[in-house]
Amino acid sequence: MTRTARIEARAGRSAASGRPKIDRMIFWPATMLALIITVSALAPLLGPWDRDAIDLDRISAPPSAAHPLGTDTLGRDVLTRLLHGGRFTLMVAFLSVAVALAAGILLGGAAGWLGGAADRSVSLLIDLFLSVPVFLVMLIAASAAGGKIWMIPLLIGGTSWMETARVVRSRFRQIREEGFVEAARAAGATGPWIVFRHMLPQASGAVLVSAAAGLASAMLVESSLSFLGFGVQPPVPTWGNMMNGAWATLRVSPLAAFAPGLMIFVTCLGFNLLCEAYRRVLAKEGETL
Amino acid sequence: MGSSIIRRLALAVPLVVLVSVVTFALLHLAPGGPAGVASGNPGTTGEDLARIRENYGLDRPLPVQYLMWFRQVFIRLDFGRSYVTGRPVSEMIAERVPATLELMGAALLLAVVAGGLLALLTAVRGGARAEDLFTVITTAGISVPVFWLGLIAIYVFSIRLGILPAGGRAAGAGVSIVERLRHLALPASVLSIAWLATWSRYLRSGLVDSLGGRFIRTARAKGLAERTVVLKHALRGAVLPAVTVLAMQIPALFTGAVITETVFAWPGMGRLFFEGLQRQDYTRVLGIVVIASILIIIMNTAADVLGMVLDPRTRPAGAAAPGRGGEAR
Repeated sequence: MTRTARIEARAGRSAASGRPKIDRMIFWPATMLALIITVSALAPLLGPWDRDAIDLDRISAPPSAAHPLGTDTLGRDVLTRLLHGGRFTLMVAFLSVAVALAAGILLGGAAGWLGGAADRSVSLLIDLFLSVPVFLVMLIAASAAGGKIWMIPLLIGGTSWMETARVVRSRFRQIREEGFVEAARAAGATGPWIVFRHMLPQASGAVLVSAAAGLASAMLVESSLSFLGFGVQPPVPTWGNMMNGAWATLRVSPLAAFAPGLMIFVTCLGFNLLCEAYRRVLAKEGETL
Repeated sequence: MGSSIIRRLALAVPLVVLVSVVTFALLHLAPGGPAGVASGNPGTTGEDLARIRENYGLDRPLPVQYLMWFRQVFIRLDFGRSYVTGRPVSEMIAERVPATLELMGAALLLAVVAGGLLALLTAVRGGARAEDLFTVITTAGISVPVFWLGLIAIYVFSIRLGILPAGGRAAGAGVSIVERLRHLALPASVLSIAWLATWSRYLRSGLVDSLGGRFIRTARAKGLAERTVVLKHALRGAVLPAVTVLAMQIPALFTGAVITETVFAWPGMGRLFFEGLQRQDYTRVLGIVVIASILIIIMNTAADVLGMVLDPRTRPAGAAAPGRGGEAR
């Protein structure tokens, strides 16, 4: 192949990477996530055993017909806890992202809309949060919270709003001077009305992308905290705290250790792939993030 | 660029102090405390506890305690003694720094080399299918929980196959390099995964961008070998943003190190921190947080400086790019 032909082929290739491919990249993760979320939501109906029922005669039992995934170190059914764990893990992740979005949209929106001193303060705040060993401080905060489950989303959301703030700010700065904003202002609309009714919808694509990525990273942070024993406390199960101390029983019941981690991995992969696919769609439509 | 570096350095001192205040307050919010650990011993009387508290200064008001700690750390540059071991915190940290640097350095090397190859190969060759595969692989890399991957690695390579140690570090005078590497292999590989994914992703998108650039067409038109075009011209443009991203990942690196070191019983700073937090060893935890904050600020600043050095557009005029003269014949 000549060099020109190669260049043309390369150009053609990138032009050809269009719709059908993106659809495949959205279909599979979305289906997988829908399944995981539905099954987790229905945990109380689907779980074959009582979530917290301890059976000291069957500690770390291997998989059997009665306990398809075996039992944990207290003889509790791993499958039942896995189903319930999904509920709590996803709940914490969604709440964390809700907190992060609220803070990010508010701060990023204020910075992008008002400009000037507000913009400089928010940028400073973002810089500040990015130069702190967040996970170390979060571990300390979680240990101070003493296992109050509602503190975990506040902590995770409160330390992960920066990306949302950044994209909202930059989108607002792009569109602040555009005709439709000016028209709304000329029609007598107030600041908050313009921001929430006219500008925020324009930033919704970027916000959705950061929310999808945020769900994955919130899950990973909660799981890591819980795995280390400082996050959500038992008996409430999350996929992370089900693996707390798992290395001690790794030899005896590997499945009890691997199953929750696999769920975390697959769910995070789903959220991140969706984020990636949606980012591509936005890029095609010419919206820069 | 220059002004952002100055701003960052000017903010460094208040930032570190602020982080220490928050950390201090949070530590003291947690129930128990260093004396609380001693109260677990049934032989400890209430009198003993009061004496322990008084000795440690834990009976003073919190602001006073903080100021005492502040004076000790920031004026006398002494992190104090551990409540658990009674040894100087700086000594305990200094002992652990080589292990953490070894682990992080190895992980970084793995990530840069393997991620770089992955990015180069899929950017230069392979079509849409390769691009999708690359996306799925790197997305998997940022989605995988470090502790899960670590446990799988231990299960497969130590328990099942029995070819690599499950944890610990081999160091010291008489230890062979092979033994060191065998201990390093699993934790370094596991820690490198997330970096590898992030770095190769940015590198690849930079490469694809610059391969479409006009300066690449010029280079090809000059008749340069494709290898030179990719490695010297396209890569130079792509490396810069990717290096900055790599340095921005440093805080995430501490996260990974705490978990990786805990899973693999690696005697580094991350595990020192985790054990300190479990035992409410205030001085140790505070010392590590302060040092981690300073390191992050240094890394962020280094990323800025590196960006300036690598990007010829921001370099002072007259300083020719190395290696360019020979090609321009």
